[in-house]
Amino acid sequence: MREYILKKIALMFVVMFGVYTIVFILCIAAPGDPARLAMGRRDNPEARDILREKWGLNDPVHVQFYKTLISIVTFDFPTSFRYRENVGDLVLARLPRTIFLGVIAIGVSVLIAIPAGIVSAYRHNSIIDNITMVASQVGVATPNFWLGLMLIVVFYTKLGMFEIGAPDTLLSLDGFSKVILPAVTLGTGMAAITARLTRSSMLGVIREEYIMTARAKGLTERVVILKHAFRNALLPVITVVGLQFPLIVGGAVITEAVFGWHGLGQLYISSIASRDYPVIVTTTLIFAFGVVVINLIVDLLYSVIDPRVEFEKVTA
Amino acid sequence: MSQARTSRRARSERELEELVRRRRENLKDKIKFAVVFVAILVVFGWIYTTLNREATLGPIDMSLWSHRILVVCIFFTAFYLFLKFAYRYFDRIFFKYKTNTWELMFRRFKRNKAAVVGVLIIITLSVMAVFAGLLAPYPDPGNPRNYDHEYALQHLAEPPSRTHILGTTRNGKDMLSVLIHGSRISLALGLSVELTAAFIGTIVGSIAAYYGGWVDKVINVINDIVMAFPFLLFIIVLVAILRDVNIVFAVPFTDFVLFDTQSLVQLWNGLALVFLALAVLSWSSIYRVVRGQILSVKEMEFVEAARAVGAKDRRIIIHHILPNIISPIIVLVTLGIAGVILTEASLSYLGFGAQEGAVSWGRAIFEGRQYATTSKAFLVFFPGLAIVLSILGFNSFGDGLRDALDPRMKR
Repeated sequence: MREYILKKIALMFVVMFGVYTIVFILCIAAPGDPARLAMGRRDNPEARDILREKWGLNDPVHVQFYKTLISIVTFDFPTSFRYRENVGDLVLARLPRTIFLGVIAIGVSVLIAIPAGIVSAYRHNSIIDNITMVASQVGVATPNFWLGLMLIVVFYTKLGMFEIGAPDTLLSLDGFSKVILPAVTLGTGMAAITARLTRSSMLGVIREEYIMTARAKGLTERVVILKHAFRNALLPVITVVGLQFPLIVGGAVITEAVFGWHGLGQLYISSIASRDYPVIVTTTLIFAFGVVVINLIVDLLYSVIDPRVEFEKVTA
Repeated sequence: MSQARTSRRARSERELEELVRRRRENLKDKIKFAVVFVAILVVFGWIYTTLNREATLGPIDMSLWSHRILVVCIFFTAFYLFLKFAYRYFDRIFFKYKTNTWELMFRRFKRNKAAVVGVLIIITLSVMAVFAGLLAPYPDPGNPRNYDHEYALQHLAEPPSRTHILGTTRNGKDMLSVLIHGSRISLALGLSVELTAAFIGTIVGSIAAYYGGWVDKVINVINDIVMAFPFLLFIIVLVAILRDVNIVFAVPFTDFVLFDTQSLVQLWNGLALVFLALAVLSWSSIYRVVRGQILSVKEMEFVEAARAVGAKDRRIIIHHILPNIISPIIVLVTLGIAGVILTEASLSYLGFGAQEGAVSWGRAIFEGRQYATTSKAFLVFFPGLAIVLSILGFNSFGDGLRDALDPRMKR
């Protein structure tokens, strides 16, 4: 087991290095001089050259590659071209907002999806089941940004219920009233996928013989469904939700753009236009790190949820 | 004639009855289908001719009326014939030994109502895309020559009315025409990206799975890296960078330029770029499925038998393994088209997809987004609805196909 984890972590670093290399090459290959973009109208060659020297853009490519890598690995981040601030501070100011949005969205989606999935599997082919499945199909098909805009139209413009924009403090009334619409936007797509998976996985499990055994033992229906069936049905759900994480990151970027939620995603989008390489590289690495870590956690969760998995992996 | 053929096929009196009954039911189905189809056509044509006649057609023009229906009918017949022959062809190739597998699949598919609705949506989309010029009430809004400044200035962002069923865009173009012409971009992009992705994914997947060893490992690590890179972010960077770079592909030692990337950028108002970025990145899901399937298929006896009679690797992969794993690829391609439509819309919304002047659904939302908080939310609503419906169509078609092709693969 330990060997397996170590192997996974080693692979994680290889993947992170690969992602870094790709982003770096993309940034270097990109035309458009960030120094000139930063100068704006006051552009003149000498000042531009000073800026380039300061930002290390005049170094050979391999030196830049090495320097940026070292600075990120040692958490001694470079300075942003656009904001003239340390990228670490810049990201730290934005990261909590994105995490807050993500956590609330996942919470919303789990709260909707898991009960819906269980009920529609339990009442297979009933009206509830059909409604849930149609709703989840529509939920999957709805683009994030369009749903966000429609929610703004209905709840903000017409009903005046919630606020939108970026909150100053997160864990406050202001933060929660502003997070609801983006979180619902982001959570709906996830909820649709999760509900369908939960349903199909529960349907498979409910037919198993140990469920019949549990019922024959005289356990209450609630214990049979929640403890015996649901726990076994959770494994494929977690796998696929874990694999969905890159899509969730993309969804978060779009949702942030729609709601003006000053998070990491918006920072990313705006820094691409100004060729702010340090920010692009750092932000991408943070997102990629999130994806890789989530995948690792999903892998490890297997053995917690289903103790048999550990055994299989050791023997394999 | 048919009676004679039927009786020859039947072995007993009972079987003959059964066959005749089935044939009659089949005919009944066809008639039902034809009636529904004609009804849809009539309603469709009626709406068109009554709602728009002052604006575009003048008084009802019977020749045009019949012309439109005729064109749609011809297209539909062609589609039907294509399906029929495709059915026969695949039947002969893949199911030599079991004649009714394909038929069983078709019957299972027909029972799935959501999937049938999906097919109807896809057919509508295809008709819209192919005959956009005929079906749209106003001429192609993507062509600057059709843009009437005088008229447009008086009709900026109008709400739905009799002359403009879905209203006008913020530039004064007819929204319905924009949506009908926009379906071309969505479909063309979806199909081309997914076919390219299927091509790359199948080749890379077969190589990785069939040869194994270090080839497999290297490809897997590359795939891991691509997967860890959040898809949308990667595409945004790629598009942003390709948009400004100009790589010229020329014949060596001459001045003859094959193509340069800037002209590619101009092509389709920036959508060729989206195609390039998507095609490069979206083979990964097909790759994984193909690899997994081949790993399980290649150990089977018939592959060994083929090798024993001296078949080469390429022949084994193309003629013996691929036909066995074609159905998950078809399903993935169908579902992938929905994903491409979604990604194109998202990219366009963020400003990295279709550029100024393009007629695409995502671009329409992008242009209307500043009106979302005003009373003109319909500018955003209708294009979004078109996106939702088409994605719904492809998704339910793909799901139905998956259930029909392989009942064991149920979600």
